[in-house]
Amino acid sequence: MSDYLWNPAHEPDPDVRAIEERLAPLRREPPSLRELPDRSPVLPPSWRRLFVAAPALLAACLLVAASLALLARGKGWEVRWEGERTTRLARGEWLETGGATARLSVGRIGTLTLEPGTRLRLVSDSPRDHRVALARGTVRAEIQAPPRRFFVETPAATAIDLGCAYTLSTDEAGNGLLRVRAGWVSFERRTAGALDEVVVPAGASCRVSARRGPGVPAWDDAPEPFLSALARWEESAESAGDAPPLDDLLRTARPRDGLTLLGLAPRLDAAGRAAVFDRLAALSPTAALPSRDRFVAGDAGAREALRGVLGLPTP
Amino acid sequence: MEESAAFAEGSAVGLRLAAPGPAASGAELVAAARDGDRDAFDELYRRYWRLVRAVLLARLPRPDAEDLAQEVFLAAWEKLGDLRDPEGFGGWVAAIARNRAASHVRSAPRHAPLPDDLPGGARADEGPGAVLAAIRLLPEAYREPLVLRLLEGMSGPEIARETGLTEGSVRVNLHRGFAKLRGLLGGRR
Repeated sequence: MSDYLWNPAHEPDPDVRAIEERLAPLRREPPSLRELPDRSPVLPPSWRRLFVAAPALLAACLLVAASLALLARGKGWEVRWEGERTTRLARGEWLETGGATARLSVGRIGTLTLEPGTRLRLVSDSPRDHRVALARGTVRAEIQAPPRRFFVETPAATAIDLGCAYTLSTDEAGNGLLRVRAGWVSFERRTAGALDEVVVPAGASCRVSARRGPGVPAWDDAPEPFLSALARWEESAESAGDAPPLDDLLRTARPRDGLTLLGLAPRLDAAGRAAVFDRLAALSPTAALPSRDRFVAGDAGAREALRGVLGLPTP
Repeated sequence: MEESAAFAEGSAVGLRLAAPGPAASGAELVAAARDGDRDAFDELYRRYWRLVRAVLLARLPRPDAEDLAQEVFLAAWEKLGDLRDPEGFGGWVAAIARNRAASHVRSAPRHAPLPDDLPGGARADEGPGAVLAAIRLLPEAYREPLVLRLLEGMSGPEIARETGLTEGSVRVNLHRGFAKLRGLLGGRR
């Protein structure tokens, strides 16, 4: 795959080269660094910080003392059960809902509703890394926070909040479904040396397989024949052997279903990508499409360009 | 977390090389520079000047960016004792650069005098200044990766490592940013 923008060692792309050449006059070695002043001597940094911060430190001590009682009430997150009973879930602890529903406060950034039959562990409750491990069951997340502050790890993938509301189900093997109701979710699986990442927008769902990780996003309002064809394709892809046929998927796709077809493209061979491109071109006959050759060659830039041309949402 | 672990080169505790050379690790250079070794800091400057200049060029006209790059490194020299993770010098100095650029923009006059990146003898809309000016019109997330790639010649994985972003984010920002940049420059080429 030629992707010169990503890796300059690849075959040059003329458009990228043209801009590189325009910038070439600015490419140079660093000028000499000005003479460095003597540093003001010289308490160890920890002592220096202590002196500078002494007044604030005193105030902080008072605050800490005043807060100890609150902190002593329990670390971790509050769990509110049906019937108003309240408990806490500490870092490292498991929570099993059994036949009940529970609502978990995700720090101060949102809530996580756990359906009956859910088993979940609190992995991290730090303000920048709210993280749970979902062993099985269904959770509904409502998060109001900057992207990448809330993570749900499942046996097969990790759902990363990009500012959103979503429902995530998994079985103990890692087979499951992500359904996004607002915002975006990045569904990721890290394997040796690689990162599979599927970004799912509001109104779309994505299956996850224990064996292959995140699947392909599809709009929830897609026609039933299209969704059935996608399910058949994903099931066939699970088993070894020949690539499953695309015909039903392409035939039943709407222009909007470019979301799915473009998500599928990196998993196809060149012939499959050619078929996807031709179908999208037929569905959007008036659009100014990017280079077919680059798309068929697997160029990520061409795929992104096509996403823009088709008017598909971007995070 | 996984990324930082993957890139860690080992603990810097106890490292005090007499004269870290060009092959020294960033942590070794930071340790020596903290002890007052100016040659070690000069090596850090040579390694990270491109990153700092790119961060600044993504936000400021070129003369300002190159002046400010020096100030960023002088500030880093003064504050080096505050750097907690010696492996993280690149991200730390880039953060200083972003803060300095933001302060500069806030304090700059509303009607700054020309020129912005005008190379002698070339038409302004054909020179590198026009490309940089177009990059600065793009959403912020696209600017640094594009300058690092198109001007400094870094690869996507190198950009991810230097900026602390995931490779997936860098790839998306590069491709979307480049598509928009090509659109902006389309009429001028």
